Amino acid sequence: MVSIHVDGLTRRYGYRVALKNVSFEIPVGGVHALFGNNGAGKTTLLRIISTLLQPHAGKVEVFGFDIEEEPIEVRKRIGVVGDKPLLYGELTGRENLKFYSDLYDLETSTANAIIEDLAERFDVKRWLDEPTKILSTGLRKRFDIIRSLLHNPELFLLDEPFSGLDKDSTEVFRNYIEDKREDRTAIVTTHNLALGSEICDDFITLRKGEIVGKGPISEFDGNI
Amino acid sequence: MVTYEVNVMGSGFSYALAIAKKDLITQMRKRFEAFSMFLFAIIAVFVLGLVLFSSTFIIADSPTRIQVMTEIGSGMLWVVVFFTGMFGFSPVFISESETGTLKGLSLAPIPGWSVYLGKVIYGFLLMGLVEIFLVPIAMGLLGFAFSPEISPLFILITFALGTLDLAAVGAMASALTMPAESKATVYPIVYFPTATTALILLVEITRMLAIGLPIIGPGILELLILLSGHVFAMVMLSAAVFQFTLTA
Amino acid sequence: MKLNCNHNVHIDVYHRIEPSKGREEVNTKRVTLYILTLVITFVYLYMVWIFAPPEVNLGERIRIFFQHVAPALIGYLAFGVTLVCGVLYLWKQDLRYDLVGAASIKIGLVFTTITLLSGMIWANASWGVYWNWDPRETTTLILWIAYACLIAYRASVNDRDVRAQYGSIFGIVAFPAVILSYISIRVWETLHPIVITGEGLQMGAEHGMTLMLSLIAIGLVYALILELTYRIDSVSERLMELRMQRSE
Repeated sequence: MVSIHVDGLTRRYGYRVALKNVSFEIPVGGVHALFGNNGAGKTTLLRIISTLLQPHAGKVEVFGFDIEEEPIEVRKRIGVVGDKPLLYGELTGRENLKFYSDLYDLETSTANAIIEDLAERFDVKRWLDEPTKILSTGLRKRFDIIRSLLHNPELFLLDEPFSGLDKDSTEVFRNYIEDKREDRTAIVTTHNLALGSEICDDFITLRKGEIVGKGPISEFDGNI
Repeated sequence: MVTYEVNVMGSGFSYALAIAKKDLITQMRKRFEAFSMFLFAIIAVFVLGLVLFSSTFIIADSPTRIQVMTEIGSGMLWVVVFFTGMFGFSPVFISESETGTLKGLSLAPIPGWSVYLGKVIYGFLLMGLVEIFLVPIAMGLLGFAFSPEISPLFILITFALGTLDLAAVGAMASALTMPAESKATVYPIVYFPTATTALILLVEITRMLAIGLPIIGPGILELLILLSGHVFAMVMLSAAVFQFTLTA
Repeated sequence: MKLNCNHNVHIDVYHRIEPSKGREEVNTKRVTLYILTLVITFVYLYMVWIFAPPEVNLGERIRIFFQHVAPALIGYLAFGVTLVCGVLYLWKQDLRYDLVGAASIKIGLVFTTITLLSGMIWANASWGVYWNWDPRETTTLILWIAYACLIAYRASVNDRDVRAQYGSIFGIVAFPAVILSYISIRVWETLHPIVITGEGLQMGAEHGMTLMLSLIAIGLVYALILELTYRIDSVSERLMELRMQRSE
């Protein structure tokens, strides 16, 4: 059983090629690192897997669902955290989370329970009823992580998840990922190689849109 | 199979309503957009009314003036709504794309058309709210009234269809403006040409309603049907291609 | 050598536009098209100016009729091609469709300009004024403005793929303007004659033949310019691509 199956994936931006004939597979479970410099194609790859960008050639499947044919099935199963929190500043944390749980078809009572539980876990209960625009960057980031976890996704796509996250929150989030690593898959891109090496099982290194290295994390030589 | 389709349609609409509700709450907390739309509309009505009144000064004592004000004023009202739409509809997607939250909507497991429809509903309600205050003021300042022989139902239908058409076109124009270089200049060149169709139909229908032409018979009804056709075509076409603006 | 090798791979894998390599062989198909167009264009001139007899109502003014109707219909066709190319681009993500669609907008715009100008000349000859704000004139002018705005819009989007994607969407949602221009004379009361009705062409045999031939002639001219524009545009795209590859 594989969580992500990528075969011959190609994507260009204008005249520049961002991903060149990329193929790999990721099994279910575990934390997988995606290393690479700026412009190596990490974000493009994550955007394609999360159905936000169409590939120009090749095939991508998430839990057996083709990202072009059944994007909605794919989106139900992924939780995405990027560099910018996807929150509406005018709305409170609770309203933001309720809005997103409406989009994920959660029952009101279930949604409330999930929000309470996650708020407890990420220690933002006190801030649930404040408009998110007045919150600190770290708190907004925590709310954004809660947003990505509302529908209990099977696959986490985390693009630089620890940037802008203070030490405590990083710890909380890490523990959450560690707890779930048996049956949940996570893909993490990070500049923080030390942290990446600590939490990940294996790695893929991208350079100029091509895979230049992969294997168990113990084989990672720190060269990106 | 059929029930499944109905469910998909039904939940698609409920997502659209959730998005429209979220936007309305946000708008009510910010307030300034709706309020500045209204102020812009009032200024435009004021200027146009002044020009209309002073340029018909030469026929001040003749009944022709009332006729001229009725025919021109009713059309001017839609010109004002058309330009006010620029303020109301342009932020619906541009602002979400600037804050990045559009990505949240694109990531949600909902069809692209729900996002579009949600924004159309929001634009329709926002503009409708402004119109409730604007229309009576405009009727006063531009000096026209709807003929008492016309049923208010038709006036209501005309305004609803017109506002819906402008909202449908305006939301699509906002989505198309997202990737453009200088958004403030590009929005009008996307919105105006597609909305002008609605504008000429609305000016024509409202003029007929104001001078009291019969509904049945050649004229109003045919134009209303044409307007409904345009609303339908714009909503359907935009909804069908909308997902491609989310996955560029 | 390395560069060459690189972009051969590049083309195969990424479906990029591929203009013919090296010096071109004389393409018999193309030459046939040119000669055919030339011959038919001369026949067209002969039929319009000499063969077609003066009409009962229009007299000699029938001659401008052919040069008004044919560009109008081919203009609609050109925008239809843009619509179809837009759909194909969104479906296949192949830039060649975008190039054809974009080229078709420019040519359609030229033909619509000819339609408007010949219509103005005709209107002046028949009614003594160049512009009547007749529904057909109004909707055709809107059509012209809409597609001119589409060209301006495309120029405002920098990223090549995003321009193709959003330009295709705009090309699709602009199409109702074409339909409106086409059906306008059937809905409004208008000065415009209705030539093509449910029962076929409302005109004499000679005039019918001349109109058919004008459509073929202008259609061929359209196809020819489209092909040339597509070739020029794909070469300049390729040039840009090579320049960017060299900078890497």
